[in-house]
Amino acid sequence: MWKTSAVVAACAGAIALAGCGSSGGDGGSAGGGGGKLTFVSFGGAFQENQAKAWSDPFSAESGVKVLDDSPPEPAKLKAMVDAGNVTWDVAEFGAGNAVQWCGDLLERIDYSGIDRRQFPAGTATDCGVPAVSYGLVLVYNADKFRDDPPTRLADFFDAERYPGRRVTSREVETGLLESALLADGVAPDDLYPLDIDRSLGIWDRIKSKTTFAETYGQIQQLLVGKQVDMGLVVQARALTAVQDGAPYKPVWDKTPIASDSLVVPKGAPNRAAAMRYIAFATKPEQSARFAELSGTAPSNLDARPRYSAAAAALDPLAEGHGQAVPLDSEWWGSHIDEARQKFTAWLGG
Amino acid sequence: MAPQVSTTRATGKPKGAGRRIHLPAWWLVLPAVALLGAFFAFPVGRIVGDSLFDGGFGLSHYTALFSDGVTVRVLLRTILVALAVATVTLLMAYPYAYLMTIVSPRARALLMVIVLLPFWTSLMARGFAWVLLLQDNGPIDKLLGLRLMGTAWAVIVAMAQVLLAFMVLPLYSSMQTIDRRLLSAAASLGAARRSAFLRVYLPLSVPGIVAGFSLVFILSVGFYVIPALLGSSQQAVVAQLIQERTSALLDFAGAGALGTLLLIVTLALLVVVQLAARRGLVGRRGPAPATAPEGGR
Repeated sequence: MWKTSAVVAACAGAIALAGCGSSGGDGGSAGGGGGKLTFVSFGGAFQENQAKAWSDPFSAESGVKVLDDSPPEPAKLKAMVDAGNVTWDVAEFGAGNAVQWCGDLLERIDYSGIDRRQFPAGTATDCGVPAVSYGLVLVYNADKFRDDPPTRLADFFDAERYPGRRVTSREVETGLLESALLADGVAPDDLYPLDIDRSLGIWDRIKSKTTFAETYGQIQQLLVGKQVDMGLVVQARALTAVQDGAPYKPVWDKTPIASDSLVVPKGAPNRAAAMRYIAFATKPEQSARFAELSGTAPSNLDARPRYSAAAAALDPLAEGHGQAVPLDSEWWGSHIDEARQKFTAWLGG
Repeated sequence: MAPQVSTTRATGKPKGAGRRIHLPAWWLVLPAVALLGAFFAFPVGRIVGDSLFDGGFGLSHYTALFSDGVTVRVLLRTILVALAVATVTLLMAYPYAYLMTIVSPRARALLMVIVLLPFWTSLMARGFAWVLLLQDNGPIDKLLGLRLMGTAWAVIVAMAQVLLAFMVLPLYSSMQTIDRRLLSAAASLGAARRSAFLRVYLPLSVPGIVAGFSLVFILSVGFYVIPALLGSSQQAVVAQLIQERTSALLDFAGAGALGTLLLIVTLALLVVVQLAARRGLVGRRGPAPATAPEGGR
């Protein structure tokens, strides 16, 4: 009763705006000319760079107009799919989410125009193609630790030898658990299935000294303000802070690499155009272009970004920069809720 | 059908005019009721309904909250923070509101503007201003050596400032109605200024205290922006857990259960506050009949 009446009500409201669910025309299916699609990402400079690297050239080639929306809020995705009124066509979510929601909230990817072998094994999944990768890089304040700089991932978790404030994200699925286990000596091949409790036990050593930032803006603010002595942060934020003159240097040991995937919400109004957009944006050239503009890593293995000197210094995939350890999307797809719940309980309890 | 309509129109005109005058007064609240029904009662009902019926009827979403090892502690922390905020604002606002009742109208207008100016300023702007003040190596840290950022103390300080107007305004409107001649009467019966205040004025201002305290407490319990900006995950409040469940876990039923639990706990606490205040009033009235408000009017 509840559900039915709610859907009816939602549709009644939606019909006036966009038509309900299936009635939306498939603007991109007409082939070469015209049509439009809505691309959802994180806004700001990040999405402007995606427009430059992906959307603008895609529109120029296909004639499909790309409208931007942000942010890719999971609750909104679920609400839209549940109500049968989806307005998004392509969205950027974590690679684990792309596996977790596959079939429920997301359409299966049309791989006819995509070469799966161009991506690290296991990352191009049924419902998501990796488009942006980012290392969780250990950086330290070079002014503070001048005499005895940290050299290993384990030093981040050693508050006795390296006292001081630390910052990281509170998005546990970006490599936090992996970092602690790698620091504790677990071999990259033995990481999965992750031992969540053991990992949190290692984090316990520095829990009270660490700011688990709510937003990436907060991480950047803490770095630029030199309010933290070490950070386990995504490389693009470290890069922005360094470019702003903050005295942070990277430590190259083992670096977890997380990915965001491009996905198509279930019932997307312009499904065919969305599939073409994803195939285009994940090509080597587009992948490299966005990596150059944003300071992230390309997820396409054939991409060869030409980084600035500053970005190259923070590139975890570069030669001589330790070992890059890609996250296991399949494991995260089935354990993301469990990991988040345990992490939140550990953090707030 | 058409002729019927036209006949009622033709004959109904004078009747309609007469009827309009006799409309009962409760018709006036219909728009407000409709608005609240559509945008408050219905969604809250859905949230409560989903928390009970998602995956078959039962209290599983509620029992899960008590066994996850974090919700109960965060709930207690939230209530303590909200009580602290309400207490701090009361201690700051009471003398301020009292001052407003005894100064000249011009000074009163100035005091009112001072309260309302920050109230009119964007919440986000005030939140970020507090970030700048309280952050490590910020002014408060440098001057006082207090590292408050990321602690419940930072949240309490900032929320007290943000919510001060919600305490001052009910207190002032309540104090405004207190007949100050009662204080003279108490003095003429031998009461010292202090005991006249404690035994006459303070009890009469209890309705304002209860109103302000309840308002600030309710707003604090559900506050999200300030704890998210100034607090930390280690010192999370309930709103942050609800956000996590809704947005990260997509556990709408669990988030609904948490919201409902918060609502129940809040209502229960408010009932306790109301009862305590009433008992306090009655207790005051008993031994000191001269303070009965009816006497002054």
